[in-house]
Order: sequence, then structure tokens, then C-alpha cells
Amino acid sequence: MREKSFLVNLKEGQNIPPLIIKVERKTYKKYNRLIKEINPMHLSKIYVQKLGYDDVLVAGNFLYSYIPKWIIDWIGAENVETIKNVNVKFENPVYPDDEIIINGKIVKIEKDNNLKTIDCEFNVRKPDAERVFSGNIKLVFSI
Amino acid sequence: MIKKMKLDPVKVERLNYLLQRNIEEIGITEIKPDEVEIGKFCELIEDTNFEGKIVHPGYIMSFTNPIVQQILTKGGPELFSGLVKAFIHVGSEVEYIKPILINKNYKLKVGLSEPVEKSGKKGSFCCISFIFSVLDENNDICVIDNHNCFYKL
Repeated sequence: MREKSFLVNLKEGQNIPPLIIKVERKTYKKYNRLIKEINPMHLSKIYVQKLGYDDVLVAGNFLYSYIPKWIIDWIGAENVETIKNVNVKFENPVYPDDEIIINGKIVKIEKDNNLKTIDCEFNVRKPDAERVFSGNIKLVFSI
Repeated sequence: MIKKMKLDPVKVERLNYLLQRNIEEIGITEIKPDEVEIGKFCELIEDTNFEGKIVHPGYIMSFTNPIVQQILTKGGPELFSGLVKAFIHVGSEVEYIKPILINKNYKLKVGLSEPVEKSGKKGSFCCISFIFSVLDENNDICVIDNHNCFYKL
């Protein structure tokens, strides 16, 4: 359980603790089996190489999963219902076994009656700084 | 209405028609989030701190993925391995309105955006978004995902 001071102490410009993820090929294969993936973009190296990619692409569906996880790590699972909007734009391919780092910060805090709205933005990069996706998140807390 | 299309308009019209037709034929889908499946998902993304009766918000697109596949493959290979050379999910705008609960019944409704031409590093694509709405038993919307997709024709 997060302390009440967590919400009180939030400041505009404050960084959210980063999350480093190694997208293991084995894990990604398991995910594809779980969701019964059929898109060759995520399964066939021969197919994607014909389209100019180095390897199968890790699906946006799977990459997206890490954004709420990253936020939940920060706000606590008990505050999961404060996640109201997540917008994400996939910009560059992520391949199996790539490492990605999610960084983000609070851009705006608004108080309205009993609600506190926290707008955050994030970007996800590979260790060489290539941005692979980015977006923003809105959290709404009752106060 | 097709806007600013440099792509073959006949192919774009056909794509739009086939997607719309398949969505209508599939209709509204019944879904029931399964505890075991969502547990496996949390394990894969190493979310050890998340447990409970609410479906992990990161799971929403894994939820809708089988429907995307049904839409793309229904009616044989004309759409997915014929007309569409590649299909890429390029972004999403997700709105969480009410939590989705494990082992409860929900309905998944799909809509489509108008086709728009977009250019990327790999050339011109047709962009058509799936608009997913997850509704509860009272037909209240719980989650909306504007799932933006590029189609290489």
C-alpha cells in the first residue's frame, strides 16, 4: 500500500522510476501462444525480412502491456483504477531479445473538487537511445 | 469517404468493404476474462505485484487480438494473405472507464474508422483503425481502444 504522502508529494516535472525490460524471445513466443497470434509479422523471419525488417517484430499488444505494469509498479496495484487513459504510438521496431527502457515524468497536475488528475508522458528507448515508442497517460485519484 | 488516397483506390475500397463485412458477420463477441490466462499474462510481463479480481489493464489488447485475427481471416485468404501484404499495429488510444473483472461476462463491439493514407519508412500504407468497446452486462462501456493499424496493400 502506498503512503498518503505519495500523492501529496507528486510534483510537475517529477520523473517516474524507469523500467528496464529485456524482451526475451522465449517469453515473446509464449505470449504469442497465449494470444494465438497468427500475424506473420510476429512469427516469420523470412516474411519480415522480405519487408525489410531484421527479425520478427514484437507486437504492439505485448509492448503496450509494459506501460500499465510500469505505472502500477509506481502507483501500487491498489491504485490500478486511477489509470484512465493511455495513448501510445509505436515508432520503430522492437525485436526479440532487445532491451528497452521506459522513462517518463509528470507533466501536469490538476486538482478539481475531490479529484487530482496527473498527466504523464513517457518514451521508450533502446540502450543506443533509439526511440521505439512513446505516449502519455492520465491518472485520476480521488482525494 | 476516402481522403487523400495515392494508394490504389479500388484496393482501399475493397479492404474497407471486407473489414466492414467481416465485422458485421462476426457481430458482437461474448468474452469472459479467464483467471488462469490472465495469471499467465502477468507472469510473462513479470507483474508480480498485481493480483486480484480486476483484469490487468495491460491485458486489454491481448483480449482483443483474437478478434482482430478473426476479422482479418474470415472468408478465406482474400484479405489477409491476398489484398493485405502486411498488417501493423502502429498505436492505440485506450480509455479505461470501468474496471474489467475476472470471470464476469462482457461484450466486445468493433467499429472501423475511415481509411486514410499514411506514409512511413516502408512506404505508403492505408490506415484504418479498429475501435473496440468492451461493454459489461448492463451495456455500460468499460474500455475503449482506438487501435490504429497500417495495411500494406
